[in-house]
Formats: sequence, structure tokens, C-alpha cells
Amino acid sequence: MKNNILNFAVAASIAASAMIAGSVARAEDLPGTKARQQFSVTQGLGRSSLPVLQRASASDQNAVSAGLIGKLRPASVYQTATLGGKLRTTGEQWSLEVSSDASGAEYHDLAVAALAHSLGRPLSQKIAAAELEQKGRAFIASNLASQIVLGQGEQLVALRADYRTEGGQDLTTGVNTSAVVANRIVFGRILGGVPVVGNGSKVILTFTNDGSLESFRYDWPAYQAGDALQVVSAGEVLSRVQQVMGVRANAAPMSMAPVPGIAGKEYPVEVAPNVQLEALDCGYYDSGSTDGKLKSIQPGCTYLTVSQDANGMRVGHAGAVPAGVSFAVDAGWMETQILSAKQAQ
Amino acid sequence: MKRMSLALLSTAVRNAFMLVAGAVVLMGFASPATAGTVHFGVRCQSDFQSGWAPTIDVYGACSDFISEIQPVEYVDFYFNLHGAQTAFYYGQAAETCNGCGGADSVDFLFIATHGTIANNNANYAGYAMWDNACSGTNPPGCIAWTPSMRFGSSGQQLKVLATFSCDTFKNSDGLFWNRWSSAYKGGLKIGVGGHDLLYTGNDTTAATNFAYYMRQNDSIGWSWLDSVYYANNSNHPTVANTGANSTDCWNRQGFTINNVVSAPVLRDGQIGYYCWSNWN
Repeated sequence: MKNNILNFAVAASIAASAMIAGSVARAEDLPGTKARQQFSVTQGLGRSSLPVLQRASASDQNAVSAGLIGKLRPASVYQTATLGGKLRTTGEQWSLEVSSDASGAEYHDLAVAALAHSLGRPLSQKIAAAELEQKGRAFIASNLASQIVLGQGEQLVALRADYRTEGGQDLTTGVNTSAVVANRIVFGRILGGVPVVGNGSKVILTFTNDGSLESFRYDWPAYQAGDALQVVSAGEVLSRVQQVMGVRANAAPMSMAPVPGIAGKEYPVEVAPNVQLEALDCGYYDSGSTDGKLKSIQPGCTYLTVSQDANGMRVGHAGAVPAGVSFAVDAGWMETQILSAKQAQ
Repeated sequence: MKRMSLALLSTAVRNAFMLVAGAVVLMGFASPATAGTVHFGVRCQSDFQSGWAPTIDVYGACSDFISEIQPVEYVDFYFNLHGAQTAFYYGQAAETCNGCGGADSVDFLFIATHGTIANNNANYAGYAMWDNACSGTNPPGCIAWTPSMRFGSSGQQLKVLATFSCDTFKNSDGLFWNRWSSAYKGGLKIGVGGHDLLYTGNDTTAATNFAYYMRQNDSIGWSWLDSVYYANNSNHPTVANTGANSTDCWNRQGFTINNVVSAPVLRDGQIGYYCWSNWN
């Protein structure tokens, strides 16, 4: 990148590069997720108003923890401690944590994780997204049904499949190895046709290649609906992303990012010089219990942007802009503060 | 601590100010009654001189990482990356100087800044410093390049390098070892970073949970992979390490903050294998 770097190409490196090419099992946004992102960048929320929601915990930590242990480790000996508001339970080769508001939990089976490497498979044999979704739904139904509760008009939807890959090289022989060792499915939630975006309302399950559950993590609050907010158009959402990026990355906004047409390949959208919007996902924005600093769940759109300078240095920004015509400034939501300050100028 | 009007100060005054600030941090953070055995250093940079690189917002992540880890371990310093290239370079006095924020002056170094692969030589990975130019080079930009690093063989002998930066741990092109062999051959035991993009914005959650998981004695590598992934499912976290052979390498990827200091060091010809794990 810099001129002071010697430009020596090593033939062996090129050969190794060729051997390794394509050795990473890429994450996979599922078709429904891509369609939603497409809809968001062209239609925004696709409606004129949405209610503001409040997270409401329906249970207490001890009850949730006991219920999960009863399902997952019914005969185990374990210890429990409270750490930073979380209720952490550890047993032989496993741990479970329940969030302070009892709406989230994280579980790890260390014995299963320890075997993941030995069960490695060629990358081409990763568990397909459809099979992962099936396994995930079966596990939720069997073990998490009392926590992952769907209310009237709610849906559990598969969002993406991700993979843990590993590789290495014997430095004596030069032999490379690579494998997929864990397979992850991410579920989200739709409320009355509107998705919850952000880290809230997610269920993430990880399976090793023999189908064993290695870990799960969920955030699944009950929501209470409040007053309705008028929401802005897709164009205004893009304008807000531009304004935010102007502050976050010192990127001069373009006059107005064009709203892409409904058909064709709309991403990426250039929202500022050298700043590309790679994904926009509109719905109720909930940052989740682990990031739980939001006072309310307002309409909003998560975004991913990537910029690249002339030397190839890349920067990724993630965040969410509010989508209400008016919105509440929230100390836990940076973009509401940025946009409020801009509106006040 | 770092975002005040340092840009208005001369380099010398600015660096001196940071050292004083770091000493204050040290006194505030390192409580002998509660600290463990691992010495941490933290260096982060959100803005860059004359805007040579885009602004990112990583100070919150660095502060939160410190807040989470300091009740149980020593945090020796928290500095920005002004004039910091030599603090990463082997053979430079700053590299082993704790008051200078040297990489080999601590056991565990956490940094957050831009990362890159050199666009004219893919055998170089680098971390962006604040400065618009390094000593003896032209603008734009000063980058600390991995082939000039050798961690773990001098001073406090760095054991763990954690970097919230894009791309530097790229391993899909088969050139990882070309980029990192020099740094690891000094004895560095664990490195974590990004093999592609790591998005800034949810990094406070990532950094907090990284420290939290490590405090629960989860492996350093696993702590990184899951904390960064869970913060944003589009992130691309990586852990990479060395071993005498394949089996040894995978075993060593399980190091925790409670055993990484005492684990045997592998340097130079003792290293027979390198291995990595990625999400996404």
C-alpha cells in the first residue's frame, strides 16, 4: 500500500494462494433476509406508521434458569452465581447465563465444543441452511418453547447461516488443511409483518457437524405496544444514513442517494463519496438485552456501510437510524443523538 | 482521556500528555488487591491526522474493555496511537518501554484502529497509526507493518495480541504466514483480529463481552470469536496461533488468560505449524 514497501512477489506464495482460494465457507443471508433488505432500501418500512414498543420481561432469572437447566441438564450438579446482573450457572463442561431482565440466555456445551475440531469436514460438506433451519426449529420446539414464545401475529424466521471454519499449515511440508467445524443458524422475529431488527429478538444456535448443539444464545422479550409514530420514506431513511455517516466517518454526504429501483441489483448504494451502503434492514429497532440501553423500541433501520480509500484500506460502519418522522432521543442510540443535533441546527 | 484537543498540541507535548494520562490510568486501574497476573496494554485511535483515514468510533470499546478486565488484571496503560509505529517494531526502544505503550512491555495488548493489507504487497498486513506520515516517509498515512514486528522475545514478552481492525488476519489467500511469521516467531502465543471486515458501531458490546468471557476462563480465542460475532453477525473474527505440530497448535488455541502466561513459548524453529479459526 505504501511506496516504502518492497514489491517482491514470491512464487511459492502465489502457489499457496491458488491452493487456498475459496477455502472460506462464506456466511449466507437467506433469501427472505435479502428480500427484506431489498424492500427496505426501496420501500423503507412500507407503511405510514408503526407503534413504539416497550420490552417487558415476563419471568424472573431464577425461573428461566431453572427451566432451561431442567430441559438441558436435568441430572447435573451445578453452581450458580450472579455476575454483573447476569445469573451464571456452571456445571461439568457446560455453562448457562440468563440476562438481568430474564429475556435472554446463553448456553455453552464445552464437551461438544471440544469435539468440534475432530469432526471437521471439507468446506463443501457444511450443513446447508435449510437443514440448519430445520435443526434449529426442532431444538427450539424441544428445549426453548417456554422462552421463545410467539404471540398473535408473530413469526420466527430464519435470517442467516454462518460457519466456523479453521485451517492450518504444516511449515515443514507446506501442506494446508481447512475444514468447517461448526454451523450456525440465526432466527429473527416478525411482528405483524414487520421485522425486529438489531440484536434484539434473535435466537442463534450452533451445531457441530454431527448435529450436536454446541451453544445457543437468544434474546426474546415480550413487547408491549404504545403510541403509533408516523414513519419516513425510504429516501428519508437514506438521507439519515448519509447524515449519520457524515458525522461518524467525516464523510461528505452526496446531495441525495438515489432510491434504487425495485428490480435488479440495488446494493451497494453510494451514500457518500467512497461510502457504500451494503445492507439496510427496516423494522422495529431493538439492540437487545446485552446491549440493553434503549428506553423504547422505535421504528428504525439498521445499516452496514463500507468505505475503501485509494490505497485499499477498508472501513465498515454498522448502526441504525430512527425511522419515525419524529423520534425520541435515546442515550443508548447514538444515531438519534446525531440526527437530533442536526435537526436542531 | 484521548479525545480532548490533542490535535492542537505539538507532537512532543501531545505524547508527553498521553504518558501522563496513561500513568493516571495505571494508578486508577491496577489494584494489587484484585489484580491477577496478566499485564494488559490498550492502544486505540478513532481519528487520524489531517483525516488521512476515515474516522471510526472505537474509544468506547476500548474504555469498556478496560472497565471489564481491570477488576481482575493489571491494565498498565491506555494510550492512543500518536507516534506509535516504533512501539510495534522489533529492536526499537519503544517496543519494550511500558511508559511508551510498547507491545513487548505487556503480556496482552488490545488495540483498535484501521487495519489493512498492503495493496502493493500482499505479504504485509498493517495497523493505522494516527500520524499522517511516519518518520522518513511521505503522507498520507503511517502504518505499522507486520513484517517489522517480532512479538514475545524481548521485554515483558507479549503473549496475546488482540486487534479490533479489519482484514489483517486474512487467511483465505494462503498468505497469512507470509504476513505474520515475523511477528509470531518471537513467541507470540495467540493473535485475534479480523479476516475481513469488522464493523465499528457494535464494538463496545464486542469488547466488553470479550473481556467478560475471558474472565469466565473461556479460551481467549473462543472469547474473541463469539463476542465479535454476537456483537454483529456480519463481523469476520479470527483467532490464529502457532504450535510445534498440528495437534499442539489446536491445543494451544485453547489458552485462557489463566494459563497463557505460563504456557511454553514457541519461537523460530520450534514452530512447526500455524492454525486459525474464523467465523464467517
